[in-house]
Amino acid sequence: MGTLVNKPFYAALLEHGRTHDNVVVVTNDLTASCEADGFRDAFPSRHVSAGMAEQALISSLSGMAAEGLYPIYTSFAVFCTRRPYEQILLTLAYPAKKATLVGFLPGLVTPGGVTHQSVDDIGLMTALPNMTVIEAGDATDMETVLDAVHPVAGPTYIRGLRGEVPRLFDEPMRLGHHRTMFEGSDVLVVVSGHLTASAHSVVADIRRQHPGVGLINVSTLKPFDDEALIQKLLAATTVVTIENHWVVSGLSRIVGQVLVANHATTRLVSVGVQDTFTHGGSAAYLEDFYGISERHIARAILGALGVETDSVGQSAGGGIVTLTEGVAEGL
Amino acid sequence: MSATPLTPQALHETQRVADVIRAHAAEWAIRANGGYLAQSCGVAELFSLLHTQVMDLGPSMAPLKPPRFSGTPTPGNPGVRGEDWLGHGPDIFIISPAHYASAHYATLAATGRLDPTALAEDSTDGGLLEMIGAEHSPGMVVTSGSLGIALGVGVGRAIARKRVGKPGDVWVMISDGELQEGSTWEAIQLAVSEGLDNLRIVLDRNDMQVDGKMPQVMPIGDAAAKLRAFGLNVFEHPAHDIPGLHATLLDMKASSGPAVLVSYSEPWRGFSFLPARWESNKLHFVRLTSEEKTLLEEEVAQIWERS
Repeated sequence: MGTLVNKPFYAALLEHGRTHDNVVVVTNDLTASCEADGFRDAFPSRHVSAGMAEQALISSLSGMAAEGLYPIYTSFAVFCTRRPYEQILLTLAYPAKKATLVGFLPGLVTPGGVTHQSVDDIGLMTALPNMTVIEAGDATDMETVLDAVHPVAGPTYIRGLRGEVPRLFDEPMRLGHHRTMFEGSDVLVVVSGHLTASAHSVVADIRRQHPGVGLINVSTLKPFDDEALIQKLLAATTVVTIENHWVVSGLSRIVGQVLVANHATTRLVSVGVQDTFTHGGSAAYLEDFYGISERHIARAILGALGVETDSVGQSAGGGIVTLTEGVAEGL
Repeated sequence: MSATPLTPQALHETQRVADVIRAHAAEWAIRANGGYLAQSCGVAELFSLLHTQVMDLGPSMAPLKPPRFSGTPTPGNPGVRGEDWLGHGPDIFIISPAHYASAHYATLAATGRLDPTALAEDSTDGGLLEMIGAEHSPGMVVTSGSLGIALGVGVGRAIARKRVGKPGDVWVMISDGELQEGSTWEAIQLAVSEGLDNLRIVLDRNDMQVDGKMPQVMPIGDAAAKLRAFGLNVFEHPAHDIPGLHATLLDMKASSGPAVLVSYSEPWRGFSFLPARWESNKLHFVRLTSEEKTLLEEEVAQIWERS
């Protein structure tokens, strides 16, 4: 587990274009940065360069869908969701148009600062009726997510991973099906998205002492109707949710609503970005500063097990933010 | 030209500051393995002129060495305010595309508003000199790393200043990429509707965006004609001719309505390997190859020798 795959979405998007001739890809000046340049070069007549004009871009997807095309918009998550929100609500979600938005740079992964850090996209998109919301956790997810969502009749938001992505799963993504990474129910850890690799590493380590800790990856965040998953959540004594997103509106909120609605006595521990705005820095610094690093994940799980741990301090920073290709591409 | 020409000393100082802006920007790229070097090269003379000859900002109200990051604004506590480094007027300078923040940090260092050592020390994790600045970053007024955000704020400040009779101009720097965003045109529409003769927009017209040259990505055509059609007083000049740009800025400053300068820049100007990057559409963000890094170090050393 954990082999890095280079640009898994690049090839998947190209292949999706080959197998579905009504697919068009629309971009906002982040074509190569969001791994759509292969599709663009192979199918230039099916690529639309819409410029940095996201509101009209989203409305145009609705028009394309109305004419029978299947538009896919790839961008940074902030420019997929936050910026053109009313257009998404009125022209994609309300009329239930089949279009897919793929948003990269999930949560705190970029030195680009609050304007480029998407810690709100899952909340915004899951708030919309008719919207399907998916978060990819590894390279296999990025390779298979377009096939997984292809049967969906309405709009879909995919929170994606770009560049070098770890492979954690062998089986293709399936809509509405969680993945059990470790069996166990003393403490059930539920992770979505970018932090899946971190959670896997931490839980694998903790299980040497505490084999009853389980780990589940969830990729379908809306609709949240995976009955087998819900039964596991209700049966657990403690659920620890892990997300690179605001806990007030992301996975923790989703799981918490399920628990409350089902009168569960399950305790909920939320690891994620708390109710604060964020700033820019290297990914390692940001994970540490905002409490989503492996140390913080471990501390939360051990705390749920009743194990005393030292307090986790906060990084003072000071390290140089090195702008490698994976970090800086498209900023 | 109605304006008083630059004295030889002022011309020399303006050129020196422009050179130092390029040198600081290059050093940033060398330290971090990349940066917005081309943006700095495009606006070096413009930022230098605005700071040393044109705007009336007043002395900095902030320390030469910025504090470390201590949180984002909360109700009743704005935290560190980047605009304190600009002084309290009468003029104010708002940068809309925050990708130009490092060019502006360099300007602050070259004009004595920041200790030059802060450029290295505070562009680190936990420092306020973020690559894409936020409003806690020295000299940044608005958190505008997504485009088309800050011009509207500048319009609001200009409206407020007129309502309360506060003197001084609101200068807003925008990029030509922002002309693709509808919100830019909404802000211009409001500025014209309100007759804001205290709003002075400077537009870096570099014809460049992430995917490549603008005509290939999303053509904006004759920007000056579009801006004129929206009702702005439009001035135009090449970005690297200091005397001419100075005269044009002064003409604009004297203009009777909301005005914009279209500054036609060459974002490859100043370093020998940048023109090739322009040709190959790899100029928006310069991530250095080892050969480029060596060249850049040599060329920066030459700048420091003559400055």
